[in-house]
Order: sequence, then structure tokens, then C-alpha cells
Amino acid sequence: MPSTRFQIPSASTLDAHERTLVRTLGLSPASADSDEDEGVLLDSFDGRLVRDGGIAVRRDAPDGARLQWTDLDRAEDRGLLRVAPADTIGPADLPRGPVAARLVGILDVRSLVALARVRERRRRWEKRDRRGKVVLRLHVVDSTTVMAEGSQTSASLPPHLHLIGLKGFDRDYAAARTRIDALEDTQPAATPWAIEVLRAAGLEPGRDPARVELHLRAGTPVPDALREIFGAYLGVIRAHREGTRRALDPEFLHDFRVAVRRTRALLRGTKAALPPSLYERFREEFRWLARQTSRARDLDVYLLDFDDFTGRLPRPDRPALEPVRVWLQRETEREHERLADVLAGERVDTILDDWAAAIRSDAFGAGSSTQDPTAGSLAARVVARAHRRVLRDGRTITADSPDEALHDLRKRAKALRYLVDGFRGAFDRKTVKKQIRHLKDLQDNLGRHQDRAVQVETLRRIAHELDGTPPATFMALGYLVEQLDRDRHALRDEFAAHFEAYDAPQRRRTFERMLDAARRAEPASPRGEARA
Amino acid sequence: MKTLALYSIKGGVGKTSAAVNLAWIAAERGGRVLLWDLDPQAATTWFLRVRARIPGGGRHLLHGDGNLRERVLASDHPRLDLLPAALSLRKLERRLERKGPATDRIARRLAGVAEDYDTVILDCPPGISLMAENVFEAADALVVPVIPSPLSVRTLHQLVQFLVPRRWDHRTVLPFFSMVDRRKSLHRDVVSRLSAETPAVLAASIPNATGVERMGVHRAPLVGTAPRSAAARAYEALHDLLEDALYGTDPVDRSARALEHRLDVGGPRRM
Repeated sequence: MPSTRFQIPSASTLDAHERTLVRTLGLSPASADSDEDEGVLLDSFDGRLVRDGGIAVRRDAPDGARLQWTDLDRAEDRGLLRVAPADTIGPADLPRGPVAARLVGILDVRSLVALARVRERRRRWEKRDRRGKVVLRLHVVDSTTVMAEGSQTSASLPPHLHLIGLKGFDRDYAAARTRIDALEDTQPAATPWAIEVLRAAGLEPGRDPARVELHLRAGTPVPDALREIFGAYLGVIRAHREGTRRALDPEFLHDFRVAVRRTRALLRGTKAALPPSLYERFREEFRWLARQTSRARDLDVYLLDFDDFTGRLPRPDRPALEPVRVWLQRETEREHERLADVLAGERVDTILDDWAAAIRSDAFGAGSSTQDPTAGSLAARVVARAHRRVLRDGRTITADSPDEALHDLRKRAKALRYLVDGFRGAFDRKTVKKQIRHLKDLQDNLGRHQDRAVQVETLRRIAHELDGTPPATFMALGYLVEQLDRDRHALRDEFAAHFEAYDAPQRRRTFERMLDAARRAEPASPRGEARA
Repeated sequence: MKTLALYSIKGGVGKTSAAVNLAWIAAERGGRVLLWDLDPQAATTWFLRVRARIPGGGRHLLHGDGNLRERVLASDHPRLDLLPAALSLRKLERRLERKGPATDRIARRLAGVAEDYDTVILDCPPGISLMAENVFEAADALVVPVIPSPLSVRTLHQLVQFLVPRRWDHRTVLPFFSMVDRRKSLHRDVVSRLSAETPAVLAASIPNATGVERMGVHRAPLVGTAPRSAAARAYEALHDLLEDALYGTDPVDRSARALEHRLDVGGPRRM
């Protein structure tokens, strides 16, 4: 649907243009719309709707709230849903139907969260043909006030005209567009409406706060590089703390945990570059923090996988698993309540504040100056060590090795991945991308094997904890455990091929060449200011 | 995307009124809807105040390279689009037959807009023809208005007898009572007997109300101009039942084969 927004420098110019256009285009007032429009803009925390070119606006009315999903300029209507007037709307809160299915196709497990409130004063005009059919719409917006969610300060946007064409009535749109272009002081807006509103609220629309952009290079001095990496992960932890505490959706906890794990892997890898007391303290603190989140994440994953579990059963047996779902939901709620208390506690405040101060301190990363003059040198050393460990452990695994051996290898591979990701900027861009892909393939096999092994164990344990459950549930659980165990065996059988591919001589040589290049990098001048 | 065809072998049973109102309700409830007027009388097109003319011409509507997307017009409702009809559609049947007996032409055209819509509603002309067979192929469900009279029920029976021996025996068929006049004992009898004996008939009755006729005066759906009227509420109830049959947990087997069995057991032969 064609549409153009025109920015107008002042309200008086807008009034004059409106009068001209109403007369020359033959517009009449559109019915049933108030001049005041107030709504709350929502997107997932990681900006999925905006990245897909859309935005959701919730409007509250006496007969209930509605969520309107449009493109970023509100010209194309993608769907409307009745929702509760809440600032967080999860996939399960959406009414069943095709619109919700499309929306969830984009959001996946993420909830919509309120980002900004917007109030507009606008007049709506339309043009009808001789049959009385609407062929063109014009919205005249003379005032837009924007307030970030939770903020008390507001910002204003300049007045604008919004010309909206209707499918199949292109001539009317083109004629109106020509008229507006001919008016003085009209400029087509360079930015879509929703982006403008979100920026006015001080937000970065479409940005995923879990994605860190690191600028370090191989020649970056080690303290600068470490401050940047640890600082970025600390930013992710802080950004996701509140959403994790409120359990807004499972991805908050997931991203929180990943940032903690990345911090831990990097701490272990760069131990020599850090003051020993600082290393010891934060190694313990982040280990404690990671442990606090483990059970909640495991339970989240069971619930997320539950439909897949039930789908494995013959259709008539599926309802028999319902008591398991109820048990999991109850346990998940309890565990999240416990985690919420932990995350709201002073210990977490202290860890994060002290860690931020430590990153800013002069002693941070200074221990590396003799051994590793550059980030490239440090990266090559720690990544090479982690890589060697993966190869060493992987080569010892045989068909008779216990599952724990694969689990340990998985942890090694994960540590390697986090180190490569953290120091990614120190390596050749194309080579590191390829190496990460190879590593991902191995991690995927190990991860899925571990998931199945844990699921089998957990479901067996759940069977013991379910009191007074009908025999059909136990039979369904037994069937499911058998299925998952079969999966586990299949993944185990596939491991050798995945590891062999990862351990191929050609890949190893490329990996070593990548590390050599990073090691040889010339030092760049220090950045001076700490980034944390 | 789900495709519903408002279809009946018999004419004048309320297909167009139902198509326009159901499409409006589906759009009002939040979905993106395409209403395709396949009837050369172009009554649906007229109701939505659109000129009875097929953008790009009717000649290439179902064959050739043209995309349906280029022929669609926006209605006055933000989520409802219309593919208009014109008198020239009457030639379409002959063209279809000349091009061969293919029954997938509508389905293939709709596949090109599957990403654009949640629901497609086909307002079909009466009669069994090659065009109708294209409709049977394209539709997820045939929504069949039935006037509570032996003749109208007989045409429903004829329809399922046509579908079952062909490859459409599993096609969902959703009959509902249309133009019901509660003052007539025949209507009351047929509704109560058929509803009790064949649960595959949807429990929604569209009354024979003047409001439905007045749609022609307002040139707008009844659910838009008189949403509190009994007929508008009946269309809302019908929409809910259709949604439940298509997306919900409706346990009834609504295939043409099941309906044929039920009509044989309790249907028109006993009326």
C-alpha cells in the first residue's frame, strides 16, 4: 500500500496545507475516529518486530484493549488482536488464530514488552469516489508526545501529514502526492514513524541488547581489549537482569546466563592477565551466579520442549502427559520466584557494581604486559590452549566412553567458542567465521546429546516425584523416555563423524594459521579511557 | 491461509450476503481477508461500492502470467481486500472449458497470495460447472447456505453426492440455515429436524430479516451498519462456528463423506 509521511516545520504551515488539500483534493472528514489517539508501542526486548519491518501498538478502550500490528509507517495493517491491557504480552496471552500464529512466527518464545507511550492529536480525512468508496486517506498530525516506558520525561515530534493510498487506487494517490509535493515546506520523512517515535523515547529500535559489538583488533592493547569484552558482557547481564527477575519471557534468563558463562570462560582464559585476588573473587562470584540460574533454565527448556514431547506420543496418549506439564509449570514458577529473590538481592548488586569498578581499575589486564603485548597475542595463546583441550579430550572418546566424557567435551567446546567469540575481532574475519561454523556443528551434536541424556534422567526423576498419578501418565512417560533415549543413542553414534570432521588436518592447519596471524599483530596505541 | 467458499448449487439462498458479512467480521476481528467475487452478477462488488470491472480484464484472470495481487482492490475496511467481479466473468466458464478440464486454476492463483491473507472467502455463482470444480479444489471448506425447505436440503444432498465419488470426499462441508422465517412452520420443522439428526449442520440460523435486504440501500455489510441487529449477531455466531470448525477443537467429522452418510440416515429422504 503506498504511503508517504511529510514533515511540516510548524503547526501554522500544517493548518494552511490542510485547508488547501481538503479543498483541492475534495476530502471529507473520516467518521468514527477521535482526534486524540493514545497508544503503547510494543516489541520484543530484542526488537524482532521492528527488524521485520513492523510494530505493535496497544490501545486501551472501555470494551477492552486491542493490539494493532502494522508496518513501521502504519500504512499496512498486519492484524488486530484483543489482548489484556498489560505491558507484557506473552505468546500464550494472544488469542488463538491466524494473526497470533503469524505474530508468534516472528516472536517465537519472546514476549512483547511496552517500550514507549505515544499520544497524537490528529484529524483524519478521506476521499471518496462517486460510488461512495474510499480511495485515499490523509492524516494530519499536529502534535505527537512520546514518553519512554517507565519514564516521566516526554519528547515531541514535529507535525506531519500522512498520505495513505489504497490498493488498486494508485491514480488517486499519485495525484494527491503531486499536490503535496507542490506545497511549500513539505519534506517526505526519511525515517518511518515507529522508528522516529522510539528514537524520541531514547531507544534504539530493532537492537538486540544481547548482541555485543566489539571493536577490538589484534593490535589492541590487552587491558583495552579485556575492558571492552568484559564491559560488553556486563552490559548484557545488566540489561537482562530485570526481565529475568520478572520472568518476562524465557529468553531473558537465557541471554543473562550466556553472558555470565561468557564472562566465566573469559575469566578462566585470561587469568594471567588479571590481578590474582580479583580473579579468585569474581571466578567464585560468577560461578555462584551461574548456579543460581541453572535449574530455572532447565525447567524453562522442558516447558518449551513440552509440545515436542507430547507430539512424540500417539495422539490418544497425549493427554496422559498433562499432569507432567502441570508439575513442570508449578516447579518452574517456584524456581523463578526463588531466582527473582536472588536477583533482587544485595549480593547481585555488589557483584555487578564491584565488577564494573574492577574493569575500570588501572590494574585490570595489566598483568599481561610482559607475556602478551597485544590482544591478538593473548587471544592466540588462550584460544590455542582451549582448542588443544578440545582435540585432546575428543580424541580419547570411544564408543565405550561414558556419557560424562561427552558432557565434559561439550563444556570444553563451549569454553573455546566463548573465547573465539570474545576475541573474534583479533582474528581474520572470514577464517574465524568458518572456524566458528565448524565448531558450531560439533557443539550442536554434543549439545543435543547432552539435552537428551538430561531429559531422560529428569523425566525418570519426575516419574518418582509424581504422587497419585494415573497409570496412563507413567506409561506415556515410559514411552517418551524410550523415544528420547533412542535419540540419545543415535546422536552418540553420530558423534565420531562430527568430531572427525572437526579434527580434520586441513581445518586444524587453517585454525593454527589464524592464530599465528593474530599472534604476530603489531601493537596499536592504547585507547586511554576505560570503556566499562 | 484458509479458503472458504460460499457455495450452493441453488441460487438466491443468501450466499453473497453471508460472504460479505463473514468477510467483514473476519477483518474486524483482526485478520487479513480477501473476498473474491466469482459471480458475474457482481453483487459482492456492488455491496462494497466498487465498480464492476476486473482490473487487468477477466480474460487472463485464471490463466496467463498475471498475479492476483495486481488485481486486488482495498475495501473501506483496512484489512479487507476485494477481487471484484464483472459481467464479463460469464465468459470465464467457456474459456476454462476451452483451455482444458483443469480444476486447479483458482487454487494456483490463490497460492500466489497465500502470504498476504489469513482468510480468503470465495463468493461463488450457483450451479455445478468447471468453475465450481475449481472452487471445490481450492477451498478448505465449502460453506453452504441452506433455506429450510425440502428443495434446498435436496440441493445440499446433491452437492455431497457430487463431491464424494470424486476426489473431494474429504472436503469440509459446512451447511448453515439461511433466510430462516420462524413464522413458517415448515422452516421451524426443517431446522429442528435437520439440526437434531445431522449435527454436521452448523447451529447458526441467519434470519430472513429486512436488515439483510437493506444492505443494498447502505451498500455496506449489515454487521457494519447494524451490528446489534439479530441478523448481524447471527452472522457473528456463524463466523465463530466456522472459526471453530477450521482452527478450533470442533470434534465433529465435517467431511462431505460424513455429511452424505448423515443426510442418508436422517436427511431429505425422510422429509
